[in-house]
Amino acid sequence: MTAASVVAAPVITLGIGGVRTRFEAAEPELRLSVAFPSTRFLQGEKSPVDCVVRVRRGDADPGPEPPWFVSGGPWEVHRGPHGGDRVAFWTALAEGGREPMMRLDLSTALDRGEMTVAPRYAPGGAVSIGFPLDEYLTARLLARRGAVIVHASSVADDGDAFVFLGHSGAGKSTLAEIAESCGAQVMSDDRTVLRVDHGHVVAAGTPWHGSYASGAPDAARVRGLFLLEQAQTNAVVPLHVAHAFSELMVRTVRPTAEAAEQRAVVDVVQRIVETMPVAVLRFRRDPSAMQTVRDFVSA
Amino acid sequence: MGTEYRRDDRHVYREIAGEHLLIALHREAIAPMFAFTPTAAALWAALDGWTTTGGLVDQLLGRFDVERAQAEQDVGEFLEQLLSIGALQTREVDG
Repeated sequence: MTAASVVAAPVITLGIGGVRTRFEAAEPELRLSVAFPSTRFLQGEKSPVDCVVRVRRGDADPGPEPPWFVSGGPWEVHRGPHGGDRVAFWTALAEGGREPMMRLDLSTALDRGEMTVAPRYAPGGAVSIGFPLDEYLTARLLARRGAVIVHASSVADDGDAFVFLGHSGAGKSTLAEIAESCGAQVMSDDRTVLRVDHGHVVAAGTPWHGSYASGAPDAARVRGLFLLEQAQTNAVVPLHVAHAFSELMVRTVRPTAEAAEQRAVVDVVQRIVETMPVAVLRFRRDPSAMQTVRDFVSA
Repeated sequence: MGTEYRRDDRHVYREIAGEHLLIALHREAIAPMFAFTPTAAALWAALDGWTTTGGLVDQLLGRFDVERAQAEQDVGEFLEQLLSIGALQTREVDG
């Protein structure tokens, strides 16, 4: 693991939430780069991996066939050449319109991928490996392995994790920063991986960050799972299990249209809320919020 | 000609802590989740394969203490709601 700001190499392996993806340059002069905090998620070259993606430069246009799934975000899914998906990543142009940045042809098992990057997005022979490509791939791999990415910050506190769920603006980064000022370590300030392992909910950090720009690959058993609400006074209000399921479901990251993966996400979320309670955390934007969290889980 | 119905695979049903939930797996859904009554949950289970309105009414009559007229109204409203959220497939058959 390294804390360097940028790492560039012909082969890089990222390990996020328990799945590993290796990206390999398919051209001798090509370099792949990752930036902080993704550098914290780098794995050794000999690590076993779940998926290998070979990267080359070329025409990133997905072709004339229309996508079968439009995300509403920067990616769309087309039928791939070998029965798998062809994922097109687009970028908006300052002058209006958009252009293809890269395309990713995936095997049906998601164990192999061929990525083609438009030369304009490989300046000096360097291709940046990061959001949204890594999140797209990791989320799909996680779903197939019984885990899910949620919109939540998470911190490690005395060996256990607290997870703070919320949409944009709910205070995920704020609470991560408050927790850190109170001695906790930030695992993520925006996206957290959750799974149930041996009867316990476990959280893992991710590199996809919010305004606090922090993330670490730590994993820890979750002691508190909270839905954030900013307020004038601190309070913790338990949620009914079915309500917790609904709130958690709408905060999952699901970059997939594949029905089996979607069902797997539903199964994981159900296991999570049936394993541990979820509560609303009404919090003030000061260190007293963290004390409320600690008091609640200690009670 | 008659109409047969079957549930669409873009939705998944779960019973969680006594609540019956229908979860949309696609982004075009008007809402990510819908709550079912126990009666609706029974009808959803019966829609596992192609079935008719009459078949669904018989399901209700066999499982719940309800008059036929009420069962027919409940089934009609339920099918209408499922169609409106895109949770049903339909086909026309002879007979």
